[in-house]
Amino acid sequence: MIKRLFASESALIKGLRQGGVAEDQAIKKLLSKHRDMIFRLVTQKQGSEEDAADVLYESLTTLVLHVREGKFREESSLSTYWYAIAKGVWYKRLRKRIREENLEDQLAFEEDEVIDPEKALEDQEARFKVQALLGRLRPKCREVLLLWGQHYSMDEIAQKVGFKTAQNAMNKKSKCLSELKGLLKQEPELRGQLRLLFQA
Amino acid sequence: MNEAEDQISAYVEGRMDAAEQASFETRMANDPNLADAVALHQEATAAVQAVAREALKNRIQSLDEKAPSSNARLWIGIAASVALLVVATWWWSSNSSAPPSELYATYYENYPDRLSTLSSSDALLKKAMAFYQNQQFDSSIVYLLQLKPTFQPPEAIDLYLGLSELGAKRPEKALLYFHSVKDQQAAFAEVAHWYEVLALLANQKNDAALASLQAYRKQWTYQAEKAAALEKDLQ
Repeated sequence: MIKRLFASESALIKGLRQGGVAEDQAIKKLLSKHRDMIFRLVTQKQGSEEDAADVLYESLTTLVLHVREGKFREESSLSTYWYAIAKGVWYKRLRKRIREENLEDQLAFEEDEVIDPEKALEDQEARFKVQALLGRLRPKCREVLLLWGQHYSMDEIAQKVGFKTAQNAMNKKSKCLSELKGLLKQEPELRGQLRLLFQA
Repeated sequence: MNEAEDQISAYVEGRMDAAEQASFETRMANDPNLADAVALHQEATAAVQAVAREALKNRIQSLDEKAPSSNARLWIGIAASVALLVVATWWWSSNSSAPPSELYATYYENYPDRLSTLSSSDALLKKAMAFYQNQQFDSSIVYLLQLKPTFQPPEAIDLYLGLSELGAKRPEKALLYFHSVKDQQAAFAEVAHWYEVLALLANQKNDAALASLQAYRKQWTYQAEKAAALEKDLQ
């Protein structure tokens, strides 16, 4: 039993690191196995079904990125780790909502084992501009940067985009990031917002 | 990549050991140009990660077979197609613009120009956006159509074409553009979806507008307060 559990965990982790079809399957499996757990977490703590769905996707996004980045060190199970991320996402939003509605006395809830995951641009104008900036790069540049931004290794990026070596992919990434920096230089206001995001 | 760039990227991406990091930070403290280059690298990295994260989240959502909104989304899709058909039929039969409904007048505001600062050297774009801001929409359309074949990203041009058509009181044409942009990159899709709701209102298709608005509110936050108020008004 334990052996089987372990085998399926490591298969999931491998799938998430690999990308492509294997990754899609791992994501589907994780969703079907654990969505009820995340839904319960949110709906039992004042959240609606819509809140729960968004927390599900937001936290799974972080989980996938942490696996690829190596931040998930396999010291706990994927589901325990995912639960801690989801808690972090939901508590942060709940706290914001409670504060906005002036219900400070409801702020007390236990915050053990919470992973603070959110590094998303919330301001719509900033999101628009950032996407438009990236949109100005050539498609191949955009593809390389977005894969790099999703923490794929240079080997994997080379494979996916069709470079001979990881070094070629690395060089392309550096060149594309320089191009993006050139565009970003003309956007002082946007730079300010991204600065905050980087420091978050 | 030159050596300085190499070092900056190693620093930002955490690939330096403690000693290297300390000496790099001392250099940064004494060299404002280096400090600014590091800041720019960090900001560009944050930009890429934010977009990459959004792309991954959208992909995860699309892989969820039990997504609570997928039925709703399908229904909205059908509703929107029906609305388009109705609108198109009406347009062919009358070939004139309907007076905007009162709700539309209350909620519509011209979406700001967020493009021309992105490409200050592009004279065509400057002209297009100057006309757009002056609400001379027929002229902005002429220039936007010229930009469309080459501009990156093309959906940005489609969005402003839709906004211009809506401004020129041709909501049925605007809907066609908003519809295509809605399937594209998220930040454009969000704006396109909001203006789709308004275009449906302009056509006095209040039921379709309400359905589209409800789907909008599940997914997006732009103009959240207005969207909530509009939903109340429509109900």
